Amino acid sequence: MIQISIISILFAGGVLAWLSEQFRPDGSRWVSLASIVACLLLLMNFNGNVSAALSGTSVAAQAQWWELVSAEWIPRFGVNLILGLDGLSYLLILLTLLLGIAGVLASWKEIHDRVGFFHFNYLWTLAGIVGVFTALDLFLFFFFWEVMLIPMLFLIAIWGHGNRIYAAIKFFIFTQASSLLMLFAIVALVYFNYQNTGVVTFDYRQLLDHGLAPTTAFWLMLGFFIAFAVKLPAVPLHTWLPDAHTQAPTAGSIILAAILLKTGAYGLIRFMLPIFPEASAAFAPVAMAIGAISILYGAKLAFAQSDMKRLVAYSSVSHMGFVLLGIFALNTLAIQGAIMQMIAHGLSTAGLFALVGMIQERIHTREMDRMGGLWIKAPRMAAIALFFAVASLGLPGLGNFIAEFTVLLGAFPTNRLATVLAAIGLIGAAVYALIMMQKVFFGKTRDQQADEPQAFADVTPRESVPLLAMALLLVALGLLPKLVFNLSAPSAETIAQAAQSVLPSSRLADTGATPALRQWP
Amino acid sequence: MVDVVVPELWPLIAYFLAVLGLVVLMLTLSHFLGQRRRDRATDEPYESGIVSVGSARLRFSIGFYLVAILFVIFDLEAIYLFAWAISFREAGMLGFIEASIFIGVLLVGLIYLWRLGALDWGGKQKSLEQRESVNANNGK
Amino acid sequence: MNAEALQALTPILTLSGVIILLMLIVAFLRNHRLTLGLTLLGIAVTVWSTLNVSPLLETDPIAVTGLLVVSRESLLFYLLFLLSAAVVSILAFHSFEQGTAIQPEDSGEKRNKGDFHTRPTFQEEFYLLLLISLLGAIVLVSASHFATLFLGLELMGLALYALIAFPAIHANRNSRSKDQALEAGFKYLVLSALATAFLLFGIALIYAQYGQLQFAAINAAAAAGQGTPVLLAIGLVLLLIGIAFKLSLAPFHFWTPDVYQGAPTPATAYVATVSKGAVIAITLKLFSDIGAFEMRAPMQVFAVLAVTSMLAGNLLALQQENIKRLLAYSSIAHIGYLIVAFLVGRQEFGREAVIYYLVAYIVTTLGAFAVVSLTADYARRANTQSSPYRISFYKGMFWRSPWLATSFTMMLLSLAGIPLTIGFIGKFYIFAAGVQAGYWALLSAVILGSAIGLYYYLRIIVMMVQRPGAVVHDDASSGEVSPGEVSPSAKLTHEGVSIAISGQMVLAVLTVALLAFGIFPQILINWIQ
Repeated sequence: MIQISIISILFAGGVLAWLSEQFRPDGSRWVSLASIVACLLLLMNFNGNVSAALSGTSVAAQAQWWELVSAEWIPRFGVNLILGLDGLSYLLILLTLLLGIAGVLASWKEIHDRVGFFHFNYLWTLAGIVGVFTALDLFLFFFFWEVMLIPMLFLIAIWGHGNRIYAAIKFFIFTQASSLLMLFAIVALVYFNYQNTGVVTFDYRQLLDHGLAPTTAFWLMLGFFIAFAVKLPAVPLHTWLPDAHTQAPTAGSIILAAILLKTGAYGLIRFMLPIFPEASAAFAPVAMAIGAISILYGAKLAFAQSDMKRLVAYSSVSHMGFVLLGIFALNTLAIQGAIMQMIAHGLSTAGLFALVGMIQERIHTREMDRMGGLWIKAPRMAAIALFFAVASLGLPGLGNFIAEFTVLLGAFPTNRLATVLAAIGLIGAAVYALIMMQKVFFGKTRDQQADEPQAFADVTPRESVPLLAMALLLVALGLLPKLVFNLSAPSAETIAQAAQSVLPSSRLADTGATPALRQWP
Repeated sequence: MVDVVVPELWPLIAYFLAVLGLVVLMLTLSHFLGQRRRDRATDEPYESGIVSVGSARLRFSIGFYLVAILFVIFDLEAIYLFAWAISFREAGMLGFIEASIFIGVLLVGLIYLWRLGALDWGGKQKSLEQRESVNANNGK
Repeated sequence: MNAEALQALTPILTLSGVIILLMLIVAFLRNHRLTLGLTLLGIAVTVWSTLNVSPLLETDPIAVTGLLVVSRESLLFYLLFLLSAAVVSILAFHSFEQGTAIQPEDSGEKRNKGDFHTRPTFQEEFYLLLLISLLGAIVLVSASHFATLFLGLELMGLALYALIAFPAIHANRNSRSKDQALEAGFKYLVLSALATAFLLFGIALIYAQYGQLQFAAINAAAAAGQGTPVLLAIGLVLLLIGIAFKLSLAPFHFWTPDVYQGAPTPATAYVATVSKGAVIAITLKLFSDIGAFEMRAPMQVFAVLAVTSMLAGNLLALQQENIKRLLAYSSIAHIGYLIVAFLVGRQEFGREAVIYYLVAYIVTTLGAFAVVSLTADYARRANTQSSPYRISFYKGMFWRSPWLATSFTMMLLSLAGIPLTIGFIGKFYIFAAGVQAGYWALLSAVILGSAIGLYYYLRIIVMMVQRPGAVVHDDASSGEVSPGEVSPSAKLTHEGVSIAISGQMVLAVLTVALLAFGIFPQILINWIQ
């Protein structure tokens, strides 16, 4: 029931936030903060499962789903409300809610008009995302997948910057058109499953043994893959991302980059690999190549940007390439790395976007050519920014390093060329992250800025507390990666086993790494 | 089937072809043999030597149109009543009721037309618009 | 004719009685409000009698004299059309009160306040014609004989010509509205006549093949023979062309945008919903009754028409600036989607998909036109300069009248097929039906069409949420149009769009239906089954 409570609290909180605007101008901010915190408190119910998983002793004995809710919805189509929660979902929901709070705080001063409606859309997006992370019925999954889009569209279209209408429509059409393909694939999958088994169902667990012909499975898998790859985003389908991220308000960018992109990766891990293991294995070399290209191409484009927010946006493309690479390496180690990367990237990118938002709020520009020397004016902000920049470039000791390292380790036996190329991407990350630091915080103060009437204020506690919390989490992940690895292990192992059962035996070379991972310090 | 039909139809077909041929012949001959002139009177309609006067576009009262359409409507409906009259005994009471409903509907239509002024003729005949505005003015 | 058959006929008889009574009353007492009341009352009585008939049909449909068959399915359509007509008449009432029904497109010519009240408008006849057309639709959906089919179709069509050309009765002489309405009415008249000619020729060929006009008899004769006779196939294709005209499937769609634009908006709503719905319903019945789903030729023609409609409709809609024309093209595309499900009509699931999509389409389209109509009425009252039919008129509407804009957003999302709305379930049904039959090419056209369609629906939605005046601290780096820019129309209509209570209720009911059937589709599915 906890999943349902969280989702309904977010939905209801959204409506309440909209209404409360009329009574207190600040009301909707507090309401949305309160509802996200309430959801976090609800999530504490799983502390038992978490500590069991962390201790690592009873993982095998644990049921896969910590909690499972099921109810009838549309019996005509065999559609049911099935919401499940396991370690992977738990991690991602936790990430969603934590960054949700960061987003509310980041938008505290940025959003001035239609505050109520802003928070309504914000909370509904979060609710849709939590729904995506828990839905186990494909129809329901698609339902939430779409529900999170429309409020997001409004967030960009109403409170965005500059060319926001174009960005919003582009974002929506890209994701919507690809999800139509997914809908088509879902319907076809259910129908073929019905032909083979005589049961009309959208239940993910029952669809696992659909017994499709390999060719059909491959085409349907492509339908899923395109939808998820657009969200991820993988390279040829990424063009919506820089626009949407750049034009969105800070809170919108945080949700987009830190959480919304993860729904694509989640979809790959949760649905595509288990449902189409053979087809995915056959497709893996292509997907890994796409991943490697995304890493390099994203890094190259990030390097070429003069707009700070666009730079961060392109760095997301690059980092999410690691996720794609890891997932399609089809072994536990790499998938674990991909999950780690999802979380670490979520934290570090959210931090960077929040920082860009703060700078933009102060000097009304994102052009790096017009910044410089901010270290002197705002040393605390600069220090935080340096932290997130090095996190993003993968400094050992932080979560991103562990993630990227694990992905590369896992992917190497499967596809050496792609892995080597991906490793080069790490150098690219160092280049663009340091260039960003150099242009913005070091060097001389630019003349244009001297004219700014108000002095450049350093971070306030409202701004710095969530950033410091995120930084702390990144350090924790870097030093104690089992926080993530142990929680996601059951999911990752089930998926990897399913995938490996169909792989040629030569690729099984790395299975020895799996147990070792469990005992990670 | 075609073989059966053709022998019976061939005189008709021959006649049709003959007509067509004659027309073509006449047009072609006159085209080649006739002299051509362009005068002021060339395009005028030929009225047996009398010069045509005035415009062909006459305006005549819309009342004629109304009468014509009313005639068509009510006269056509009467045809159905003939059919009923012939089978009056066979149709019995049910037929009588049905015919009464039919006549009743026609009657209502007539009343509607009357109220709308469609039956007025002559001096009183006005366009619907004028009529209504007169009424509205009277009402004031 | 036994008592049971007579009782099955009560909805039709009631509606006929209501029409005659209303005609008598109008002849003696012209009162707009009274006429609307009587119309709604008449519709309510007919709905009541329809509900009374339904217990009779628990087991079997009742055949009335071989010309009509009343089944549960046709009763569902009765209800759907009756309720739609009720909505249309309420919209018409407001339109007449504001004069938009008489002068839909106001080109900013001389216009005096109260101009529309001193001149007679014969508005009462609008309701009369509406009811007559409704009667035609109801007769049409229960036809089981080509004679009844033709009768119903013509009864519906004849009244429609007058409804579409209604502004021509009275407007300033030489005004643009009058010309447009006349053009629309004439276009519809001429093209409908052409369509009818095709239809009749098709019927004649079918008759030439079998000497039968009753659907069941034709089916029996066809089943007795071997394969598909040539005359039957040609006849059906010709019939299809006639139907395609009525449904405005591309390439027979040329009348649609002009008619939609020129007609008064309530009449447009009626043409788009009831008239098309009735034709779809009877085509479904006709095809299943005479077994046309097994024949290749008509099905292939239909498949081609579906693809062209989906693509042409969506592509042409992209460039429209007039909201009525946009909705016209979108309706062409939607009927195209519907035909995909129609092709699977042989199976029970396909029928269900067709009916569900039809209900979704009617509810949504009616809602969209209701918004357009009520907004135009408001614009007339507020005397705005810019035309309320231009998309730019809706700029920033979300901030001025959030409820109206929210409901319009819902309608547009439903047209685009986004979850939470009835349109999504409809599209889902189409996917399911298409996958079942393995129509991969058609489905890819559906996907492509929907993806294109997203753009123009979204454009309106985004237009509505644009902030009219609020200036944000915008970055100077991106030298785009500043959000502080205000369109002239937004300035003029800065206050909210106010709508009469009954109009608000109509919108509320439609929006709630749209959401309820979108989130809990099982309710509607049970009714259909």
